[in-house]
Amino acid sequence: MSGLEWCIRSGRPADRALLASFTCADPAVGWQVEVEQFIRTQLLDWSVDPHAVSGDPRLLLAFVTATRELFGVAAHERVILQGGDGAQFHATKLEVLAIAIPWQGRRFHTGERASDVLMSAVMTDVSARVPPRDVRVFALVHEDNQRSIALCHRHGLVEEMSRPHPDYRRIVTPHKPQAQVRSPRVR
Amino acid sequence: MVGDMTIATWPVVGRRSVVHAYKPGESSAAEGPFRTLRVHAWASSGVRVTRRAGGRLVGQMTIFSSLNVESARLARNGNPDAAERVAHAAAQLEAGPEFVWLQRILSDLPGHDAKRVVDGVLPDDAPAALAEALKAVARRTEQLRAGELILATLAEVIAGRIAEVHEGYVLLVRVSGPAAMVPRWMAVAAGRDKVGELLALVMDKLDDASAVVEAVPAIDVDGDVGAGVFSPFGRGDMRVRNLTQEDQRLLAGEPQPLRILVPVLIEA
Repeated sequence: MSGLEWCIRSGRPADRALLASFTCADPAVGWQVEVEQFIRTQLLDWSVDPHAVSGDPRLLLAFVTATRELFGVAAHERVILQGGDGAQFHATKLEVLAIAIPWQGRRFHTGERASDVLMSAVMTDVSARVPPRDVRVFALVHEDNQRSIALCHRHGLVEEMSRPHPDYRRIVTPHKPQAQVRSPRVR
Repeated sequence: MVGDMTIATWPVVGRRSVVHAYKPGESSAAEGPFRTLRVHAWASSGVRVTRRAGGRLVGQMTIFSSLNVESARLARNGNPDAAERVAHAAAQLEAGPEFVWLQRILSDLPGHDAKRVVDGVLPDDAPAALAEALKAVARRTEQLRAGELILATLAEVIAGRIAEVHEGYVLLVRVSGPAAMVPRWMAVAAGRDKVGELLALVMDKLDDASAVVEAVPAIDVDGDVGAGVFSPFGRGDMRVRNLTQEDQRLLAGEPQPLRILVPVLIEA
């Protein structure tokens, strides 16, 4: 091991039971429960769906090294964003990122936030994929989820796209504006 | 994109909508036109809904199956037999279990909420059963409508989900077919002017060169209601991946390198 307080590994089918007991939601908050339920009941299937291999779905689990406690779960995959005129843009969708309740808002002894460690793992993983992913990463965040919005901002997801639903913000990593915008078919 | 769904016009209406379909240019509050429709059996009697405030009875309102709008149009277009058939179907629907269910839920709503529901608005604190009852009525409406072939050509309906909202218009994306631009003021009048909401544009032909165009609220008969159920997870909802023109302009820029705050090693 690296001697760090945390360790990250990719998920595997045997993690189903581990994920089924993951707790990250206040039962009174609907959008939190939605995240927890997705992780508990669907995320593993999502990660191994044979029809989705082309999207290179990735499931990441974050553990406390000393105790093997699962403190965070994240997943991402490649998607193609589509404009009404047929234009397409490759991107990575941050499917989910959740910190277990005991670790929400907590830092390791070395000062890193648990959430920053997990988000950094996502960014590292996206950067390391072969074939390479486009560096564009976006996330859908409930507008009341201020903690996740702040996390996204810290990690560079700062630009607002249109909302797919009035309750959900779509936040993407930054782009350097082009002087003249042409309509690319696939980028 | 709106995926697999059937989007239909809102299944319940007030009397004014029925009168408006019969006499588009006249006051929709007038008594005469509705009386004419009723005398000729071109409209059903509707269903009475009790309205309450603070637990007390404050009045009643009458709601109608939206099939009455169609029967009124048929009557206006000089097709009294079809108008009577459709009005009869509306009366059957209003006497059926779906409408009774809806009537009971509306009666339990406080204040003016029942009126808002007829206008296409679901109150924030409305019971989940209300949406289900509306969908049940909408499904039954579509079944009855499908049995009357003349309705397919009576008025053209463009129904879909609002994908973009601009200063002067909203972009309506249909289940299939090209998107349509709808003046924003019409979408506002229909109570549907936000991304994700369901809206229908009804083009009611007056003669070969003119039509009455009306924006009305819509409903997903199969699934969600109004703005729609949305999950940020999974791969099924195209709204997650659809881009507006403004999004495209943003993404056309050069993506900047990812920011990694904490060095992390990922085990296999």
